[in-house]
Amino acid sequence: MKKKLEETDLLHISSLAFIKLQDKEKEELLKDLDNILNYFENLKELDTSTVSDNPYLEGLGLHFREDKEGETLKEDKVFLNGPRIEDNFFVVERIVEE
Amino acid sequence: MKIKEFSIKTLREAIKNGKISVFEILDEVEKEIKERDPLIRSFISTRIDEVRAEAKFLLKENENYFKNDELKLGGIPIAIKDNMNISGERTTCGSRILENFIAPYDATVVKKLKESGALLIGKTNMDEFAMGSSCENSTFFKTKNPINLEYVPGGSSGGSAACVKAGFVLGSLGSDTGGSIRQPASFTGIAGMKPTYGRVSRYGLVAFASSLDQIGPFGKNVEDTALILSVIEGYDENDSTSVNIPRGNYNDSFKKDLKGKKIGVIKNIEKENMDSSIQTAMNESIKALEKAGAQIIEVEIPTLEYVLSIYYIIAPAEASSNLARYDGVRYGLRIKGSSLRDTYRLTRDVGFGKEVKRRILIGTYVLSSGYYDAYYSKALKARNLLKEDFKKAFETVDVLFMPTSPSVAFKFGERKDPLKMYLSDIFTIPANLAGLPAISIPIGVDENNLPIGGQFIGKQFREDEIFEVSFNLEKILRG
Repeated sequence: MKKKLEETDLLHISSLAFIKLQDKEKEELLKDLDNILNYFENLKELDTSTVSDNPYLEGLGLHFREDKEGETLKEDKVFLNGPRIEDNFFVVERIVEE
Repeated sequence: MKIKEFSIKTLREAIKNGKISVFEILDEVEKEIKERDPLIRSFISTRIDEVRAEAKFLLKENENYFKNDELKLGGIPIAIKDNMNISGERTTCGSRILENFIAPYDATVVKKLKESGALLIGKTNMDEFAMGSSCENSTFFKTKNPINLEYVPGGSSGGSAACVKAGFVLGSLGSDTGGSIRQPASFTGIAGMKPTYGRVSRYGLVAFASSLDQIGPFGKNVEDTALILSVIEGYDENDSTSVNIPRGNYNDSFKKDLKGKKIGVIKNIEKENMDSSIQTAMNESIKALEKAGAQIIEVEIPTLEYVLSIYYIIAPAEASSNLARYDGVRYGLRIKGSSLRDTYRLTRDVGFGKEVKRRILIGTYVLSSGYYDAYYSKALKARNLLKEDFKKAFETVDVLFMPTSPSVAFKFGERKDPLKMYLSDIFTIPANLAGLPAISIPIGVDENNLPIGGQFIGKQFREDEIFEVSFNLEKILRG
């Protein structure tokens, strides 16, 4: 049996995932995630000692397009979606302290 | 005559013969949506005025524009799931985080549909980021099953299935990561297919799980579905997983019978969690296939019982990485925090719904240090075993036949436990994990008149074979 998922584990992964969880969400998530992770335990029955974990589908390797100039997205269309734009820059909170 | 009484094929004939104009079609589509969609709620947004203006422009240049024989979908009303871009329109993905996102370009499939003369009527509702099996996870509203409004239409492409069933459009596009086209097709009693991984470009589709996602068509019948696929498929240099192979020739699929066709049925399928009406419908279909000359062969897919674990590790892992881009900086929602980090965290807490957070967190966990080998790497290995199982099965059979879903449509709120919801995907997930083409067609109804879906899975890039057998079965069942 796997170790029960604790609140500290949940806080660790939510910080890795950059999601600030509200207190009211935590309890339910903890229970759901623990159940789901328990369900995954059945994989342990499978003997995979001789199998590769290559993630690519057979015969379908990735390929690159030809290296040639092409059209890119127009600035006005891209900046249209920016939550805060000034002089064609995306503005965010200050990162470096004064 | 009502648009909903046509198939794509027959409406194309009527347009070419001048019996109906695109404006008459658009007027009727608009009227039907206005009258009936407030109850069904299949659309997040519609764009009928824009389509009318586009059509007017095209007809001004050439008054016979839509009559052109080469336009496979000229004048045909089609809907698009709201995770694919139509330039200048919103792409919300059913999420608050993208609620106001305006697509800066056309998805490749949208470009191809436009070039084929299709009338792109609107964007359809979906489970947020395509995560769900009932359309209940949309941030905006729930889409209802047109057959019975108390039931879910399935998901995640529930809106795309519902609008075809309701007769607002004659076809639509969905995306299928673990069954998101086939399961709603089954719940609403229409045809829906997921092409082979790599056949259709995903450029302009919002990524969920990149090793599984594939765009595919919904139609009222197999032939219409094949017709839409023939328009949207093909190599695209903008999607590095797109495969450069010749387009399929599906017309021949509709001229063949089933004599000598080897159809595999899976021996080790778990029957205990399946509705009995589905077993009955499956048995009747198998008998019909056999009577029509097909050879039914039992095969085993030993890894089948592990597919939910494999999928619910791999898909969330990929999603946690794909959805990292929603940080409130360049587009989408931004909730201002005290620091940039705080802004990220607040934005993602407010912007994502419950199921999306659940999956991002699972994905983050299975990829995190100390757990990667036990979960993610293990799941990849198990996935490779499953692929081998399919390869072996396809040494003796041409196609596989199994139910699309272990149940018919369920009622809203009936599956609150996420694990129970995940079980809906048990029969659709295998084709995604193995990258194979699969189609769902209606094969009967249960005692409440809810549709039952049967699914054919084919060899890689052999869409022609699943069209062939599903077309023949459809013909027999329709009598």
